[in-house]
Amino acid sequence: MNTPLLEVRDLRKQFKDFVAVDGVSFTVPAGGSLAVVGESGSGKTTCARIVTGLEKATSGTVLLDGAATLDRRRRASFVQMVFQDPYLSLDRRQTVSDCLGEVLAHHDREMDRRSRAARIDELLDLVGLDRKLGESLPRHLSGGQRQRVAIARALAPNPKLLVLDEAVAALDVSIQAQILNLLVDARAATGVAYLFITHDLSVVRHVCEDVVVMCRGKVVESGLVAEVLEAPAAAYTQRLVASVPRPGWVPSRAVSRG
Amino acid sequence: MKPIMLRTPPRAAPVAAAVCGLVALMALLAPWIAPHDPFAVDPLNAYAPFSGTHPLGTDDLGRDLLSRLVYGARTSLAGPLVVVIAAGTLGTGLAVSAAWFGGWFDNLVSRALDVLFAFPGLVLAITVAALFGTGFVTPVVALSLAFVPVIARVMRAAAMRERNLPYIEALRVQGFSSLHICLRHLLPNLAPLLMVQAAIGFGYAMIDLASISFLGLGLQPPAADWGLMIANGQPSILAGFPQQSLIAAVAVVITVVAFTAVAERLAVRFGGDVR
Amino acid sequence: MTAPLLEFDGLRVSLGERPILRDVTLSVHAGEAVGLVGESGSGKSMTVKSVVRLLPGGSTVDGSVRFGGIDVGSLGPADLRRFRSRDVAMVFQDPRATVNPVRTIGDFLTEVLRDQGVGRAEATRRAAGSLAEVGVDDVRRRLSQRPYELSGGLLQRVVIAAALLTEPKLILADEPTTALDVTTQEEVVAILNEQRRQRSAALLFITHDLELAAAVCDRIAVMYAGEIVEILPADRLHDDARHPYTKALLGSRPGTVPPGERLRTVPGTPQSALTAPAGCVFADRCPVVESACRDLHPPMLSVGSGFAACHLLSEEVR
Ligand SMILES: Nc1ncnc2c1ncn2[C@@H]1O[C@H](COP(=O)(O)OP(=O)(O)O)[C@@H](O)[C@H]1O
Ligand SMILES: Nc1ncnc2c1ncn2[C@@H]1O[C@H](COP(=O)(O)OP(=O)(O)O)[C@@H](O)[C@H]1O
Ligand SMILES: [Mg+2]
Ligand SMILES: [Mg+2]
Repeated sequence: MNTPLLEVRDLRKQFKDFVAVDGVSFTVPAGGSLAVVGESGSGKTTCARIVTGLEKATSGTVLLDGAATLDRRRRASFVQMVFQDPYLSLDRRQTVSDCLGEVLAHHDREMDRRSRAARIDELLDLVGLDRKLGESLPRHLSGGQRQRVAIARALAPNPKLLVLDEAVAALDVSIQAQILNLLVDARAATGVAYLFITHDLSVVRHVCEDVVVMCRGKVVESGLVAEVLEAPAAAYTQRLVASVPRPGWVPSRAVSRG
Repeated sequence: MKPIMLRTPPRAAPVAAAVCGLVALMALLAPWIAPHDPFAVDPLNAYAPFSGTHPLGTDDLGRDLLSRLVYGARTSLAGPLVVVIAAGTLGTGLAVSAAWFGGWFDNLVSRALDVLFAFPGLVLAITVAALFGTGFVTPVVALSLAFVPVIARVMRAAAMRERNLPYIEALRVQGFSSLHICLRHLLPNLAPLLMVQAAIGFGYAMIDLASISFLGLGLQPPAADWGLMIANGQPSILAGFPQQSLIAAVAVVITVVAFTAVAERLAVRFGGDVR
Repeated sequence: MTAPLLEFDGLRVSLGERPILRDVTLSVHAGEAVGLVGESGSGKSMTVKSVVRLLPGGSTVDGSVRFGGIDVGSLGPADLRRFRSRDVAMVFQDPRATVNPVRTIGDFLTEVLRDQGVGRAEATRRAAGSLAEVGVDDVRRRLSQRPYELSGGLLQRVVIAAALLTEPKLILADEPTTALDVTTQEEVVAILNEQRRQRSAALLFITHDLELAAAVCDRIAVMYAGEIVEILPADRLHDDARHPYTKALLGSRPGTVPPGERLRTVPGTPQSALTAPAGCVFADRCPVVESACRDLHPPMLSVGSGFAACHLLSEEVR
């Protein structure tokens, strides 16, 4: 088998004397889609931040395309990230085109004005934003539109891997559906792989093939989405699957007592 | 430096801004609008009352008070301006680098600022002026230093908040250099807050510099400076001619109030933005 | 049928010129749980706040909200206080914003009881009992702890315990589990449900999660842009939903289509009462919109097992 896009091996992160991530391993194949699920505080975001270079691991290895270290720009054109809060993840002073243009210019110094403008339009089309919105400031956009801009910005350097940290959690149901469709389409169009961090299992079923279940900094279960979520083996996964509201579901308080 | 709480009604803000503009204009155009040479001594005409030729009268040496007031605006505004620009640049530079790099560097900067902050600005400036000589430059440099921690503290807290926002992290994930992120994104977003700080600081600096001049540690006679005018007018008060001190004092108060009112308005305006 | 406990009758709220609620008509019977579902900005919180008259300053209210047959708008200050402290209880999304961070859990729980003249020992005893009932362990220690020492889920249970303490006839719960993990959410709604049934208190439960509302409530009211567009029995939600907006909400959840397939989406973004069109509030985004929809405000029609406000249903009714 060829080298995976991302291989995380025995990752550990300690904040002072608190272990946030404890021996986590997973891989994302080229063009794949791996979900990381778990309750809040289980260390999902910390893993994502280490993968994208925002945080340094205490120990363990992160191999991007088989390499342990990449310079800043190479890493950036390989792995990108979309954040949860669409209201805070764009510079409030920058128009949509400026935001995308800045990133494009950074990754391809050779690119001239004309082709940059063309690429901006292409990105806006890709994420389903009206080209006219290019001149808008974030405060004139809705949450869903902002998240589209954030996705366009992340896709601008043609990354092989996109880390999405609860990227649809803050959105209304109808907007969430639009963005999920966009993510499915963008993956089909560009072949980008996803590391999809979420606490929402129905989203996992919709966009991911593989899943890693985390609990208190550790991986408690991993495998194919269809297998893990249909027949969870770990007690925590069973609880997680059972607590998702669905037709015919009766909430029970017995779970925590047992 | 806690903001002077004036509770400016919103409608007063344009008036305050206009006053600031007028004072600045007065300073810029002094040679053209001053009716007389501010240094022209005319002992025979000392303590002249308000009149057509001397709209605000003359001082103990017969110099035209209106002209001295107009020229006085130059040093009286230039001093605080230099102070806020110097302290703003240095303070924001320190604040942003401390917030950005964090760790021991942040600790070091914060400690140093705390120590500097412990000295009241005016006392520091007076001490330095007494040690290194009077004039325009020394008190301004000393006061600039004294204002650095004041501005840096506020800016550091804001920069801290800002640097942890996801948009900054997104830029880091994009592989932009720290310098690029700080100069192109962090600083422009902190600019409104810096403006507010500068406008508040301007008023304080003006009072402090006037006090230093008043104590004789700043500009020396025969310079036309509002602080100095207040001081030099003192003996005349006893002689029954309070105009000189009064006029200069009123100029200081009006200017300080106007700048502070503008600052407060700016703070309200940008309040929602500076999160 | 007996008179409803809580009745919104053509409630309209505006802030200055800005409409916030356009027409809310809904009743909650004693012991009944009604879910109020809709996307953000649709006016769910405002509807709840209008019950206890906690609307922002400058709001004008038309229509009425009646509790036990009495218009809450007509209550004097003393009666209003009494009504707020004895008849209704509120549970909000963020428990940390509800509980005073510097006081102990015990103080928080006994405050209202003490205010009502209950003695200290008795109040503490009842507070401890209430905590135990919502599944909080080690009650004695908890009473002397402060909010920051408790997790969000545990604190929300404390808030529910406090809500139940005064034996209210109506509980208003505004997204009480949105900030919690799903596993914690399950426990919290289970407790809320069990306790309110035991005390036969009515519940107005706000959420943006249709499935959650269906599991907790007897009836569901779907809200869009300051209006209730559909009301139906919770167990008929999937089979009987008639309003295009309700259907859109149901269809846009992943899980309704096979993985990887496109979700059925509605174009545009959720609107508020201010931006919605004059006729049917959903007309701008409706996939089956007709010309009449934009001009004429559709009346609430009785269809199937519930009610829906949609012009396209008028054929069916006749
Ligand atoms: N910078 C930090 N300093 C100290 N503790 C942190 C820091 N970042 C995260 N943590 C802690 O690490 C744990 C895991 O956090 P996180 O990775 O954000 O979890 P998740 O994304 O799964 O909710 C949490 O308990 C959190 O409080
Ligand atoms: N304090 C307020 N001042 C002005 N408008 C408000 C205020 N609170 C809410 N609104 C507006 O009222 C509408 C309904 O809000 P809300 O009831 O909070 O919606 P929901 O709870 O369904 O998300 C929204 O359009 C919102 O912008
Ligand atoms: Mg997280
Ligand atoms: Mg709400």
